Amino acid sequence: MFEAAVHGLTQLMQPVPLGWLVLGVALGLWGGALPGVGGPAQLAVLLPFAMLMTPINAIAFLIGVASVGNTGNTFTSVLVAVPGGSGSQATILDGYPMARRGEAKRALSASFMASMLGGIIGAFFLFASVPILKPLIRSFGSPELFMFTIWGISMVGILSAGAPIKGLTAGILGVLVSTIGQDEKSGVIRFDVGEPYLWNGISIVLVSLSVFAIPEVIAMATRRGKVAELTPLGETGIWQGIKDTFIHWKLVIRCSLVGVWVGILPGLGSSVADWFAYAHARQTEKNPESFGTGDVRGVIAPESSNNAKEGGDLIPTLFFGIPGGSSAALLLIGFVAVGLKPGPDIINTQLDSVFAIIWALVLSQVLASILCWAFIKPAAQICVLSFHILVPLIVALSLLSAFAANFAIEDIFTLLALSVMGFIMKKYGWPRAPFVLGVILGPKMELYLWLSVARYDMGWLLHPGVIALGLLIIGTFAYPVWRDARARRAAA
Amino acid sequence: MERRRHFIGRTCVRALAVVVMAALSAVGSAAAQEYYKGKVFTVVVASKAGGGTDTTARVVARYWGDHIPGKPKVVVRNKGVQVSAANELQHSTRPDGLTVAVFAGAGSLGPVARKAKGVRYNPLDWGIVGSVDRGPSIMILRKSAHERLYDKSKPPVTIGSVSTDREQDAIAVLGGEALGWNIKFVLGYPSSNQIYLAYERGEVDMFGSGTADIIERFVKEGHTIALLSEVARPDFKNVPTLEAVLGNKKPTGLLWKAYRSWGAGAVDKYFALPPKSKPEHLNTLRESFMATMRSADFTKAAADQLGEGATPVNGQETHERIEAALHIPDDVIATIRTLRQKYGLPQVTSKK
Repeated sequence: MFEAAVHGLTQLMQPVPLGWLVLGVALGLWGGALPGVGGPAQLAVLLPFAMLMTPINAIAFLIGVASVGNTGNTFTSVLVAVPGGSGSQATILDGYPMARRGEAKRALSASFMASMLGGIIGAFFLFASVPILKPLIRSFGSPELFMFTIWGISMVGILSAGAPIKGLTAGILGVLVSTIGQDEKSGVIRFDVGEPYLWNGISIVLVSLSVFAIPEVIAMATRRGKVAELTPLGETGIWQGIKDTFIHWKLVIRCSLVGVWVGILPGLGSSVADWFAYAHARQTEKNPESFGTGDVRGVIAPESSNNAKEGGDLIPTLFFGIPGGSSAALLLIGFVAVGLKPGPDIINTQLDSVFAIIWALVLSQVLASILCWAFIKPAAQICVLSFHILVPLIVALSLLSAFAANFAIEDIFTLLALSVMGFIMKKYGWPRAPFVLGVILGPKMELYLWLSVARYDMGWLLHPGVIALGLLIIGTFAYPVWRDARARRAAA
Repeated sequence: MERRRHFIGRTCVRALAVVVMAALSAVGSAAAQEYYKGKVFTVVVASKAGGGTDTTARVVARYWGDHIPGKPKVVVRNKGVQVSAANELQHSTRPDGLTVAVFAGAGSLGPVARKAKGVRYNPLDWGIVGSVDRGPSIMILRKSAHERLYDKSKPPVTIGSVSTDREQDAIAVLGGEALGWNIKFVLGYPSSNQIYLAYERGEVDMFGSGTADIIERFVKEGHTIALLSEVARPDFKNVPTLEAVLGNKKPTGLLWKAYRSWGAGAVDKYFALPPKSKPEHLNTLRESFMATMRSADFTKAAADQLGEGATPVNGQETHERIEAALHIPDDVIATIRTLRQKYGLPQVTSKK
């Protein structure tokens, strides 16, 4: 095994594969930083080129592109509250308030350090989890995945401290929005108001832009200020961010494990890893009331999770030959095209390639973070730009991102309509994160409920995993109530 | 003498026709070269990433660009799933010869053939470029579930399927009707990959696939048997055919006709230009498609990724097969609908 590990690294450290890795990382970061461009869409476009490469070059290039998007997408999430991709939405909740407080450099730096560590932890688990992989995946069927989605939605109570009823309502509203369009299971078209455009549903890119980005732009234009209006940009922010990550190393490890877990479980999707980690942090860390106001832990948690997920994602792809999500499916096609044989045998027949993938994952994370650190200072200057420049810039970026999602002009109108709702939610103190989470988890919730009933009728309710997750959900609701009651008693 | 003069005359006319055709072809090729040069040619897959349609599209796309005059850059995008994708693509894709869609025959033609209400496209409006036939499907069954397949006193064997039409569903329904298989469909998996995972974790006991890699992998693990093949496959010689399994129970009449017509079994993964595309674009792409199919690189990649049974079908023949697949007698449609309802398979209806 040691020999295979060394051989995998040696293959990768040649000038040509290394060059492809650097190019892949640069493209992955670029795609991640531009909302709506990165992720599977970017991978799909680049795949035909990678399929013509030698195996080691293809591994280096594809892993570079696929694994660093969640590092690059932090820039816009933190600086202007525009989610760069589906994996960086939760980062906005504390990252943007930090930027407004003049701590953009600290937030970005903590994010990149957490991303790097999370990515490395994910790569480590990619190999370490092989012996327990099969029982792990087999223990989660459709009923358990359905309960997971319910748990995710129930965490809105945690995400919206002080307004759990509003949070739950927003979450349910998000689930309702996710039902727009043609139901693929039955063919029924729902809530399309006679518009063929709505048959494919509403893109999550549009929802997150309209709920986070546009309301913040409107607020900025209204107050005629800058992003960072409270204090000047601190010069020590970069080191402080790195220190923050190591101070909260336990949180980094825990949230990385959450990310790996979400990655391993095919069917939950990459966009929930950051939310699960954020909710976990909020639920388990001391002084949770500071989350959402610019707490660096609210940046570290999702960022370590969404990069660790990349390693987890590759586990079923490589060792079962079955991808859990779109990006993993595209990677699988690329790997197969250049001669890899993902599946249970890969561990015996192509171990050096598995190690090359693991090393590529580690190197990509390190390289991506270094590149991003280099851009922190110029990027953070965005926070002190006048609203005259910034507002049109963000609006243009948002419109471009909305259009890039499907190249449909109707998306622009949808963005504007949803933005009105996002602005009203912000103005009247309705939590917006649960709404977005509802839109993300709604289709999965519906799918797994459908499959559970189709397979087990009502018998799925008695599955041990379902009962255990049911208790976890009850605990999720009960814990904050118990914690508050205990705090009140202590105060009295 | 008269006959000889006639012969010379005919030969001259033919030679002239060949010269004119060659000249026109050269002019057309030059125009196509000019048109496609430096452009991006998009292959839109009406299916999720990683399934059979997507894999087929990507294997073709990988080499197609080299055979289109002007060598455009070829990119692949995934959009929706079969019916919903076709519904949208019919109305939204620009007929500029730069975008081609890839559909699964069963998923996109089956609902049209049985006049399902949710369909808002007509495959015959599209310019059919060609298709790839990956070879017949093989039904995969968990060994431990084999006994239950024929014993209705026990829990049914669960069959995983997607939401759109699949020819494998027809095989299972035929098994249920003719052989008394004790089966239950679990429908709605978003892609073939999700079915494989569901099989892996024991949620479903049976599924069908035409992809050689997948069949080989599961059979090799030892807990699985390849129950039957739609028709004989050279790469799985030991797998009995459907007809052999049916034996003297092979049905006649409407049930057999329904099976044969179900899901447009004669058309597998087809490539099509949107309605109103120009004939010259269609001709160019048809020629380049078949040139790709003949190339050694493609043949090798197709054998590796799609199986040795993968065969190309040219545009004209694919069009004819589609035409035939869509013309099903009303009594057969009624039988298919009844069977779908009986086995809980979706009809692709809408509230309208």
